[in-house]
Parts: sequence; C-alpha cells; structure tokens
Amino acid sequence: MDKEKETQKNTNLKADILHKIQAGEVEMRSKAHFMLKTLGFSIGTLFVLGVLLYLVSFIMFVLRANGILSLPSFGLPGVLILFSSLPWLLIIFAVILVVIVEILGRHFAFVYRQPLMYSIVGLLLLVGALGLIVEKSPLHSRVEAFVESRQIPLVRDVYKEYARPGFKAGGVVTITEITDSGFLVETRGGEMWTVSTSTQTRYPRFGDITVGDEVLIIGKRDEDAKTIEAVGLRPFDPNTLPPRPPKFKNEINR
Amino acid sequence: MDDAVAKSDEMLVEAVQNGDSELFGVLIERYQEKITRYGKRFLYQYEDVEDAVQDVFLKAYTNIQSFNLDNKFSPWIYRIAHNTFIDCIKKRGKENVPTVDPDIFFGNLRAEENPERELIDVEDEQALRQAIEELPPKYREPIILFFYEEKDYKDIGEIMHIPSSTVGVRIRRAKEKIKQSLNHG
Repeated sequence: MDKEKETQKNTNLKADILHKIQAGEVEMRSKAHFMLKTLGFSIGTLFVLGVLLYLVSFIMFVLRANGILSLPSFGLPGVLILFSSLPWLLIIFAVILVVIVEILGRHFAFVYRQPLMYSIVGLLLLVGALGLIVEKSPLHSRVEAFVESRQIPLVRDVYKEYARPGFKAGGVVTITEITDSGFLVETRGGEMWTVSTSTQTRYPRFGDITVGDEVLIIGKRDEDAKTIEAVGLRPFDPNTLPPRPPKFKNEINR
Repeated sequence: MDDAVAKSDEMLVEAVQNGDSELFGVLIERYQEKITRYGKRFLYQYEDVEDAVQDVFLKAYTNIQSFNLDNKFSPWIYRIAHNTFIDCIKKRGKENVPTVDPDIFFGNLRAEENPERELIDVEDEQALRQAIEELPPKYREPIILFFYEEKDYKDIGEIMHIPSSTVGVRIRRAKEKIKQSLNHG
C-alpha cells in the first residue's frame, strides 16, 4: 500500500509541474536573460577589479612620492615610522575591494574549484604586478596635474592628502638654507619648515648636503611651529619621485 | 515518448530548451526519487521536503536555458536542489549555514581522492542515521552525497561550489564525528 501511495505521489508531482508549465504559471527564462546576466556579472567584476588596480597603484604611488619605502634605512625608528605612516585607510579600502572581487569571483568555476587562499594570492599577485606597471607609468602624475589644474573636488583632495605633504613623522623636503642648528626646508606641499639636527641624528648613506638637494627627513614634527627635530636624514634621489604638478594650467603653457 | 526513454539527460534537456516541455516530465521521473531521497536525508527534521522538491524542479525548468549542454545534467540539478535545501534551512533558522567556511581556505593535498564507499561498519542503522542527522549541514551534505547518492568528489564540489579537496576534508571530519557520536551513544 505504501508503494502505491509513493507511486501516486510521484505521478502527482510530475502532473502538477507539467500542468503549471502548460498553464503558464511557470515560464522558462530566455537564453538572452542568462547571457545578459553573465555579461553584467563579468563587467561588474572587471569594474571592481579595475578600481582595485587603480587603488593599489595609487598606494604604490603614495609610498614612492612620500619616500616611505626608504624609511627602513634609518633602522628601527624608521621601521616603526613606516608602519605608522602607511596609508591605512586606502589599504583597508583595498582589502574590502579584494573581498568584493572574491565574492563576485565565486560565481565562476575556475575560482570556486580552487581553495580560497590560491585565488586570494593569485589576485594579489596579479593586482600587485599590474599595479606596479601602472604606478611606473605617468598616469598618476598626469591625473594629479589634471585634477589640480581643473580643481576637481574629492579626487584633488585625495591626491593632495596622500601624495604630497609627506607623512606624520617627516617627509621629502628641499633644502633652502643651511643653518648652525640644521636646515631651512621647503616641503613638497610648498610650506617652509625649520629642521634641527643633533648628535643623535642618523645620516645613513650620507653625502654632502647642499642647498637645493631633496632629502628624506624623519623626526618629531610640530605642525604649529613648523619644526622638525630630525631623528634621521638622508639624500633622496629625485629621479625616483614623480614630478611636481603645475599649480595652474596656464603655467604649463608659459 | 518511448524514444525519450532511450535519450540521455542532456539530449532531453536540449529538447526542452528547444520547446518540447513534455519531455521535462521524463527528467522529473528520472530524478524525483533521487532528489526526494537526498532532501529527506538532508532536511530530516523539516516537514516541507515535498514542497522543496517541487521547488527544485520548478526552478530547474525556469532556468533550463542556463544549462550548458557540454556539462553533465546530474550535478546541475543537484546544485539547484542544494541551493533550495539550504534556503529551507536558513529560513527555519534552526541550523547555522555560514557563507564562508575556513576549510575552503587551504587545499588539503592529503585528502584521499574518492576513498571506499563504506561509511562505517555498524550494526545499528538507526544509530548511524541519528549520528548523521546530528551533523551540521556542511558535514551532513557531503556524507549524504558521497555514501548515499554515490557522487564523486568532483561532482560534490560542483554541487556545493567548493574545491574537491575540501570535500575530502569534510567527509573525513564527518566520519570522525559520527564515530565519536556512536562511541558515546
């Protein structure tokens, strides 16, 4: 009797479903629907990947423009300053984008068939390598110059906030005058600061420093007094830095 | 209709995609018992298994145009069943189904690929069934798919959208938990 009931149930299910199909209560979605869905998904994933790539290259640009990666040459104080000077907000945003790309990527078989760590490492290697290529190109310098000349809000503020003024414990500056107690310097943001040195100041790879040299300084900053007590100071190769943006578009054409 | 019996699943799907909806009934006949059995074991404490099974076939029909004829039909419909049954579990809220699980992070090269299909040598079938039912969904499902539905690791990975190495890890851990449960019981 149970087997009969089971067979009856089975027949009922099939009949119910076929009836719903014939009555139009359930319809087949078109092939175009799925093609558009896949296309939309792919475009969305590529877009987020593109934003991630731009952000990673911008982070690399920031690190280079501020001389942050040279900080370990000052030993432990430099390493500690390096960690506190990293653009953490940008890095956190990049991590969020990595998570989003991974979630979107899970819809594709070549991603979910692999352990998550493989796809994360693969993604980081890809974005890192491409980010380095983009960073070496003049893209960010040109974007910086463009947003500065056109005064484009938000983007200009981001570039101004991260790419130029240096980092909390120092930055790349130009020597404008040598004094008895140190130097007078101009920051990349155009501000004039006083640098004081002492017998404790470290000079890794020290050569003669003259007026006009660009140097990397770390130390205790006083924003109000515009002074730095230099803990470390070293010449900085200007060829590793992106060019300064012109202040106004007119100046480019002079 | 007699011709339909000789056709493969994929040939039937192709015919349905081309407009022959009646042949979908043959696919229902072929898979209803399997999907129902899978559902009853996976959703053991849920009363709406039959509704869920009907949902599976309705979704399969609705989305039939998304099926790639170069692939096997069986993992595809089991994937729809997996999603439907997971939705049932989440809706009830009785069991936890995490979105991301730590065991998909790393590949496990030591996970044996397709070991023997003998679950555990035990006389008390009822105790074994209970031990399986006590497993969390992420362990219960691969056990059911491997030992009762006789799917291989690759197919289970496609159904659950996890690496096949993770399938091996979960089956091994599920067997350990079952043994512990039987020893304490």
